[in-house]
Parts: sequence; structure tokens; C-alpha cells
Amino acid sequence: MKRMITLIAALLFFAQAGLCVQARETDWVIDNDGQRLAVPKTYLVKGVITYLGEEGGNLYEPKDIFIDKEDCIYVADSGNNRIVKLDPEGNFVAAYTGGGTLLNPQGVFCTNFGSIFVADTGNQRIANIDERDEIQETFVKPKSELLMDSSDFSIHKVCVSSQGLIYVIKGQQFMTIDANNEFKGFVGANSLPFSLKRTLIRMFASQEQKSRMEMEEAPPFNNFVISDSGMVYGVAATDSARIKKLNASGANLFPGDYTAEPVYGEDGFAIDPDYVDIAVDSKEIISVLERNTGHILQYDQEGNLLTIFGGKGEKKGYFQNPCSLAVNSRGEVYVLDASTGYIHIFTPTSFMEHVASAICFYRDGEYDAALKEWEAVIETDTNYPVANMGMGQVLYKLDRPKEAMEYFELARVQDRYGKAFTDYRYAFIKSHFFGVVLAVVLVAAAAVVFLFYALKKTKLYIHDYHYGPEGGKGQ
Amino acid sequence: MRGFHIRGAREAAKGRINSWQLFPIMLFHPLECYDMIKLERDTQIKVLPAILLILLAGLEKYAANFLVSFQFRQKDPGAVNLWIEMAYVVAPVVVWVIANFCMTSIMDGESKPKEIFVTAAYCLAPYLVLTPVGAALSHVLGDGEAGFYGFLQSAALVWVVLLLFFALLRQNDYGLVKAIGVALLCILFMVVFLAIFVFLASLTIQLVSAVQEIFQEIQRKIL
Repeated sequence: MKRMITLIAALLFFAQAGLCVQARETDWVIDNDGQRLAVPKTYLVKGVITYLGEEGGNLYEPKDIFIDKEDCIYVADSGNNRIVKLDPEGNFVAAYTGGGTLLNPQGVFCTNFGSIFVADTGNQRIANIDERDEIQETFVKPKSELLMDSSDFSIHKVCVSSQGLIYVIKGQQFMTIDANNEFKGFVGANSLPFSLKRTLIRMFASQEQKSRMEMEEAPPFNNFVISDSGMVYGVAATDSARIKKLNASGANLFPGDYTAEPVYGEDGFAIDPDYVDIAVDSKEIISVLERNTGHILQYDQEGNLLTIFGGKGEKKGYFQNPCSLAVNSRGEVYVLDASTGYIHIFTPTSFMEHVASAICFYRDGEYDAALKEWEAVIETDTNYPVANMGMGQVLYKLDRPKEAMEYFELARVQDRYGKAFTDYRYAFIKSHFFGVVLAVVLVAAAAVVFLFYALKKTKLYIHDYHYGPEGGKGQ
Repeated sequence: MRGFHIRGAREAAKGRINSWQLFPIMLFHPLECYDMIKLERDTQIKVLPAILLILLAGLEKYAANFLVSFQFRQKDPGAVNLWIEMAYVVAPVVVWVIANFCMTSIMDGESKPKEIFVTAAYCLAPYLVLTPVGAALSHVLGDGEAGFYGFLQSAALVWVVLLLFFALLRQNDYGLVKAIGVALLCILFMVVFLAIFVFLASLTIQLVSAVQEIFQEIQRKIL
């Protein structure tokens, strides 16, 4: 019996040790070969909001989280038919029910002037609620020839642009509604990828056959956000260009080829990603939430993957069914878990803060400051591809192409290396003009002379072969 | 047009030719080179230099991965394997030689295996010369001039393929149309050959692992 207990104790100890090993001490990125590459911790768990106190209670199946200019947090607490407002420290402030009328609200947005727009999904309307929990105005399905009468107005997410247009997701595109509840237009439609089968059907099927077939629609948007600069950032369930950055006319400005990289589950196998939410912080760093793995992926504006962190699990900072995320002005990431109703708060490490400021400085043209930040990043992690790339870009802008080339080689970016090299070559030719000209002339002359010599020799070999070594000399 | 009629040329030959002289002759006067290899295959032509040339081509392909400027590299030097790089050169040449011999044997050709092999090896001459030239050029070409480098590489490849084709035509005394037909047959043969090879290789691997597993099972059960 005693032996038994010892054995169980030993087993428990090893199991514990195994768990310790499993806890990741690093975050990671995906490198050029599609492999995971460890990077230092980029985000730490600052805390988890689980219970909102006597007044607030628990969140039940919340669907959306939003953070306003003053860092106040709004949660669409769908299961409780209310909108919850928290102060920047996470303390309960108020709950809004629109006078008890909200039904299953799934999206929330707050303007800079404090009016709250709710995607009141159950009531098929958008409600504008003020601070006193009174409904100021409601928006229902607008009348337009472009909208089918039969389709319902089930909206899940809502945003209001700085021009006062209301944006909602309508399948594979965004619909805009003005303050008079008039339909303004569609923007940013996703397109169906090319398919041979569909093309053939279109060519040969009759009208009757086509009408009997199921209509294929482009992949819909899952969620979106409007940044301070007025860009609409959306995430769609497509294979390529999952992240879209749309300008006012609906053109996608996000470099699309970067977003088609593989997403790996915990077991290391690639999975079909399900991007459910997107957030953009004050430094214009894009955070995307992937639901299947619970990973949060961050990108810069050029589409470079900065980090992947988070995951699924029971521990603090790991989710069961993450559904929405938001970022506050300090760059802290808030992730909402629909199953548990918890809000996980991540705060950037100094490593990530350096990365973010470097990107910010570079964007603003403060290259010397960016250089210092990247140097700090590289001091921590020399293998971080984004840092080597950023360093190369800064040095290139500072007109130091030789050093830029080294960093571009480390980051394995061939086209930029080529550009830096061309600049370096130009400077080199400029400073060693006569030397270069002399070298070119000498090499060319040597090549020509060698070629003629080789040709002559070859002719001689052939001649000697046919007529013998002495045979041809006399003729 | 001396040398075009092989039987005539055979009688005219009086001199000696050595293996390294054949290299520039293949570059500048390939027709002469084909004839010399054909005529002297039993007398002056040696196989060893041909083997060395093929190995050298493989080595150049391997070394180019390191020596080419970063912006034109197609592989990460850390991921380059010497044997795989060698196989990229050696395997096509060897399979071509087998295909060429098999096809010309049934299509009333005249060439012998040794002659085909040596000719194929010397046909790599443009590749052997242009690869180092390309590697050197890559260090002075900028991003807008990548086309030159690509052109040089394709030129070497096209030149080698043309040399192989005209060797087939010349050494078997084929007309142009027949040569094209036989060349296409050879390519078909190569594809089939490689497919069968891959198939057999995977079967062999499976067989070996099955035997290993049985052995392990017996070892664990009995011993």
C-alpha cells in the first residue's frame, strides 16, 4: 500500500513536471518556410475579469467587446440582453438595456461623443442608446431596390464612421446607412475565387438549370472595425486575403499575399483558420483573433506577422471559445471568451513595446529613433525576422545601403536586398569611377582575348586531328 | 562541309585528340566533336574524364547555391544538400543516356553506350562554363537587371539541350524529322523510367521497413 502511494505521488510529480514543460515561455511567428520560429514573450497576462461585482454579476454568452477613446470597455452581453460598461480598470460602471427592450444584442460601438450603437440582433434593428439608458434613435432595414424585400435585417456587428455613416456587415460586403436611415451603398465586396466548374456551368447551363442550383456566395465578413484614420478593417473567412483594409471607396489596401500563411493548431498541423475579430491600436498594429486555436496574430501595416500568442486552455490567458477582441490606448489587448464570459487582458512586454514604437517611428519618418528601437529589439532577439527587416528598411532610408543589405539578408528579403545593393553599387561607382571603368575595360578585354585564343586553339586542334600535327602547317 | 559524312571523315583522320581538347571543340564546333567521339570511341576516347565532367557539373550546381549573390539565390544555403544537388545533374544525364541507347537501338541508330555517355557528358560544357560566369555576374547585377541572370541560366540550359539533340541527330545519321521523333520518344521513355524508378524505390522502402518491423516483433516476442 505504501509503495502504491509512493508510486502515485511520483506519477503526480512527473505529471506536474510535464505540465511545467508544456507551458510556453515564448511566443512565435511563422518564418519564410512556414515554420514556427520562437520569439521572446510579446504579451503577458495582466489579469482576467471574471465577476463584475454585486451589481454587474456575470457575463453570459457575450459576443462583442469594444473600447472607446477613454479606454472604457463595452461588452455586448448577449445572453443577458444588455450592454455592460466597465471603466478602464475593469470595474463595473453601468448596464444598458435600452429600457428593457434589447434582445440578444451581438455588437456594440461607442462614438467619441458617448452615444452607444447596439446591433440589436433579436429586434432586427440598430439602437442608439445614450448615457441614461434611453433609446435616442433606432435604425431598421432601409428601403432600396438593391435590397431584397424578403431578406431579413439580422445584423451582428455595427460601427459608425467619423462621417456619421453606419456600417454593418451584409454577407460578403459592408452596407452603409446614413443618419436618416437611408441606404447609402455597399462597399468592399469579397469576390469568389475562380473555379473551373462554376465557369463551365455558367457557360453551358440553361436559365432554368441555373435557377435550380444553389447560389454560391463569396465568403462573408466575420467582423470589422473602423480605425482612427477612417479605414475599415475586416476579417473574412477566405483562403487568401483574410484581412482586408478598405478605404472609403472600398479598395483593399492590405497587402494580400501575406495573410495566406498557414495557421497551426496546438498539435502542429495546419488548420483552416476562423478569424473572428480584428482590432487596430493607436500605433496601427493589427490584431486578429483566430477562434479554433485561440491564437491572437498581430500584423503591421505592411502585412508582416509580428507575433502569435494566446491559445486554448484552462489557464489564465488561455481561452475556451474566444469571440472578440479589442485594444486600448496603452496597447493592451482585451479578449472576450464567449463560453466562460471572462475578459482576458494582455499587456505588451518591453520587447513588444520596442517593436511597436520602432514600426511607429519608421512610419512617421523618424528613422534615427526607429533605428534605436530596432537595435533594442535585436539585442533581445537577433533572429526576429521583422526586426532584421525593419532594421534593413531604416538603414536603407538613412542611406546606409551596405548595412541594410546585411539585415535584408538576415531577414531573407531578396527584392529589398536587390534595391539596397543597387544603391550601394551606384555609390561605389560614383566614388571609384575610374577604377570601375578600368576594371570593366580590363575584364571585357581579357574576355575577348581569351575567347579569340580559345577559338584559335580549337581550330588548331581540329586541324591537327584531321591532318596530323605537321600535316596542315605547310598547306 | 568536310566532316559531314562520317565515313569519309573516318578515313581522313590522322591526328590525335585528347580529352580536354574535346571540351572547347564541343563549345565552338559541336559537329566536329560529335564525329570525333564517334570515330574514336574505341581508340582515343576515355570514359573517366566524362565521369569527372558530370561530377564537376554537379559540384558547380552545389557550389552555386553558396557563391551566387543573395538576391538571386533560390535556396537557403543552410538547406542545400550536396547529394541532392548532385543528383539533379547526374540523374537526368544518366537517364538520358539510357533512354537514348534504348530508343536508338530500336530506331536503327548507330551509336554505342560509351559514345552516348561521353557525348552527353561533353554536352554539359556550356553549363560548366556559364554557371561560374553567372555566379560572378550576380555580384554586380542590381535588382533591375535580374533578367540578365535569368537569361544566362536559361541560355545555358537551352544550349545543353540543343547540343544533346544534335548529338542524337548526328551520331545516328538521322534526318531532322526522325531525330525530333526519336528525341520525343526518349523524353517519354525518361518520364516512364523515372515514374517506375520512384514507384520501385517507394516499394523497396516499404518492403525494407516491413522486414524491419517483422524482425523487431520477433525480437520483442521471443527474446
